[in-house]
Amino acid sequence: MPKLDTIPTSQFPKDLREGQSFNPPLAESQIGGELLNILSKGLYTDPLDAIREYAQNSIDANAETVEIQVTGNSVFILDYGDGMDYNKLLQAREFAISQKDIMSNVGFRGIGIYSGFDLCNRLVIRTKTAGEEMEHILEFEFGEMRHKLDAARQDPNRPVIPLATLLHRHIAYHFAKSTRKGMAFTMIQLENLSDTHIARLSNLDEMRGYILRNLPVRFSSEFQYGKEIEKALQKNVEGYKSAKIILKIERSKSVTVEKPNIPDLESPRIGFVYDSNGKPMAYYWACLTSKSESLSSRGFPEFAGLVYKIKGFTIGDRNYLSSYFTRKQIYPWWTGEVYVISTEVIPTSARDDFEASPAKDALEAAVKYTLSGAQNKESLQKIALEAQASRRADQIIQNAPDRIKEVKEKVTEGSYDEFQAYSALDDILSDLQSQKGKASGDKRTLATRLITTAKNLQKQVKKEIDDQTPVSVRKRKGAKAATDVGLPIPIPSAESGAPKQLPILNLLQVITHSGWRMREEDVQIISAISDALADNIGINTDLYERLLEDIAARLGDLGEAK
Amino acid sequence: MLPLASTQNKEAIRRRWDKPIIAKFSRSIKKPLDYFGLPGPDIRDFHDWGKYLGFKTGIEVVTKRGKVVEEQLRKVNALETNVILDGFSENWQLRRGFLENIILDGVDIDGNAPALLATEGTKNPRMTYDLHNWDFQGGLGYKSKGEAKRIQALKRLIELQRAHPFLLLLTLNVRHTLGTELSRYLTGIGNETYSRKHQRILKWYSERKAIDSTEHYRTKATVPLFIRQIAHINSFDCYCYPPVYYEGWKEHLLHFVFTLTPQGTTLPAFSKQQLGQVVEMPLVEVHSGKFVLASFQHPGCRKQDGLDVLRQLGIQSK
Ligand SMILES: C[S@@+](CC[C@H](N)C(=O)[O-])C[C@H]1O[C@@H](n2cnc3c(N)ncnc32)[C@H](O)[C@@H]1O
Repeated sequence: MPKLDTIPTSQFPKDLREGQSFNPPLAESQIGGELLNILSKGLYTDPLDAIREYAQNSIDANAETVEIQVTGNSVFILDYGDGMDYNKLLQAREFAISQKDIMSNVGFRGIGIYSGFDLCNRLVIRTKTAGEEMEHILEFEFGEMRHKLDAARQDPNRPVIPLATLLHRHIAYHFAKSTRKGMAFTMIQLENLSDTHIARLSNLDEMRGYILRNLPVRFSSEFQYGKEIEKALQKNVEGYKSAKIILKIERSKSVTVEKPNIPDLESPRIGFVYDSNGKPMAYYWACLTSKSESLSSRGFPEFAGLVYKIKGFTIGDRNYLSSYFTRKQIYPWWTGEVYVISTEVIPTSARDDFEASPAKDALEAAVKYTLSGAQNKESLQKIALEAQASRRADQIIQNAPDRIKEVKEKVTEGSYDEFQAYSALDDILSDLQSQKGKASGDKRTLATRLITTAKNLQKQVKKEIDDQTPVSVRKRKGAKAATDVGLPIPIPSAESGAPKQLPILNLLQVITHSGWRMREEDVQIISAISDALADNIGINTDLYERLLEDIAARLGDLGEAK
Repeated sequence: MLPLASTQNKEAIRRRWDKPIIAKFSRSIKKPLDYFGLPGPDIRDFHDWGKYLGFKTGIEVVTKRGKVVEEQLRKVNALETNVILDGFSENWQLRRGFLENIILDGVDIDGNAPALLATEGTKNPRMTYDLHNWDFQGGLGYKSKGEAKRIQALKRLIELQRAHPFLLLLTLNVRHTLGTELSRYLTGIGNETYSRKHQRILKWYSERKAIDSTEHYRTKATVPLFIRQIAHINSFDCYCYPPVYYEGWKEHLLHFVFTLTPQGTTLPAFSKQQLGQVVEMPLVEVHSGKFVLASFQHPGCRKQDGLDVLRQLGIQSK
């Protein structure tokens, strides 16, 4: 939009009666020459882009709600923003592109009120400010204007049409007394759209998706962190404003477009993204899932991962930023947005990328560092990996009491002898000790307690072994004889066998249990494979369990064959 | 906006006459009424009857070309603004053009059909609105234009709505040039009845003339009989409320209300309300928002029937 305060304002025609038409004059200097070029080219405008432009204007006028209604051959865009008085309304006719505005214009056409120029026959703005008692109405005869421009283009004499004259002739003002005291609103009507355009605008799914991608849509009021994020964005992203958008399509239930309420997220990480000189390039927010599952598998595939934003526009899609993650499977554990602040970064007209430039490179480097910089101890990737490890550790620790209980039971019922019990407890202890450091606070305390319990239990068991209870007594208890009596610390073997009922938590453990010995490098490789399996299949899934059981069984078979 | 005195009468009709009838009908069919009609830019119908209304198709006249178009488009814009700002846009659609043409052609000037008119895939289109408010400013029709479109549209409406119960509110200017046509019709009905009394009453109505300012009595008598006749052909029972005469802005208007209930018959239906009751029905008038039986009535008028209706609607008569 042109800077409004630089344009001279006109006088309200005092003698005008209610309902009487008046074509307010305007000077050639009030309109940038580019407008004529744009208008006379007869560009193809996507109706969704035009509607977006008007809705964005509404949001810029501080509207918290914008209603888009499609009925008959018309589209109405209503907002309860500031409204316009006579002068402000007339300025809506004016148009200028300056270098400074380029960022908000390149790629978006940005021709303000003329966005619907080649879509509709007439455009009507009806507006009112809170303080006035009248509604101002400005009517644009776009159809007639197009007709004149077309005729001029086809005329062999190529007559020059002074744009100011054209606009003056075809833009009429009138006012009406209003019954809406104290209310401010602006309503734009695009009249006589083609059936094809109406059909596209009536496609609720497409409209909803488009709006979510291209307008600064507000969070659902139910979203727990919505207010916090919204506040931070308003404070730190210049010009950031957002609104709830309501779609009313004839014969369909109205639809409110807003960013969804995603439950089970950790509190947001919010902050600037700086370039190497400490200059802020972007501002981001991101929430990590608090479940051990990505947002895509949690039913929010549209919101899994992060996305670049400029003034409500989405640049590229969420895949764009996934390339910054080296551990891809962890990327959709996040949801968030990266608002580009740097005015030097310019999106392409297709809005699928930024124009190549040093500024783009700087932005990308800075964002990459925030997301996954190897040097960055707080990178989103690292945080997610740690969270993932910690959740897995928590789970292992959480399962430990049951495992200990099971050992106790088996000893009591005699299905374990002391050696088996000792070795089972050993496994539990090694799990607890290795996971304790990664676990969350309360699970860490639990782990410490469990380690003591398991150790005590193991001591008891060891005592019994050391006591050399006669075999006959053990037999009486119903236990089967151990094959490797005498070893002070039993090494699990395929023969003694890890009892299958024990919860198996990862590939590494399965292999350890199988009795196969691994070298140091094997352990590293298998850990990596083990993590990859857990990340991609998910440790709580049937598939994962079946897979590990199957591997355990096969390894057992291999051992026996040997 | 209309001057106060004239809107006062119309308002009384909407709120005190139509509204209880609408409420009762909505209760009887157990649903909000889907509306088809002429709400006008001030959408008073929606403000007054809103809670009884379901889906709404509003018609506003827009002609293809001509000087008036600009004024018409402004009206449409004002109407839509009011619909959206006043919160009626949820179940709403606008169709542009003459109501009569939309009924006769099935589409408006933009080629859009009303939502509750099923035309596709059927040779017999059907309309399923529950409330028609044909609130015209003009009269019944003009002879010079062949069969008046408005009458044709009324015939077509009842045919389209067949098998669907509905309320028809019809407001007409008393001005028209069908005078002799009406007299012929009333005489014809008279010839079909054996009741000497009804023949006399019909004759009285057929003789009303513009010259003694009683011309509107001819319309008052004709419209109910005509609607009833078309209703019967289309297997409806037709109940007619007493016509209401009132002064609008620069014009005099007649307001009719009918309840049409399908009978499922193959041959034409008959109504519980008898021909005699319709013929002998009194005329009601509104003055400064107050309902009264007109002082000038046909000889042998069943005033009591009129008073009963007023009482049923909760209206105190003077
Ligand atoms: C009398 S006003 C409706 C008033 C409203 N029902 C009320 O009670 O306040 C009729 C409106 O319908 C429009 N109108 C009148 N006759 C019409 C016709 N035949 N077809 C379409 N619109 C018509 C007029 O322009 C006007 O806006």
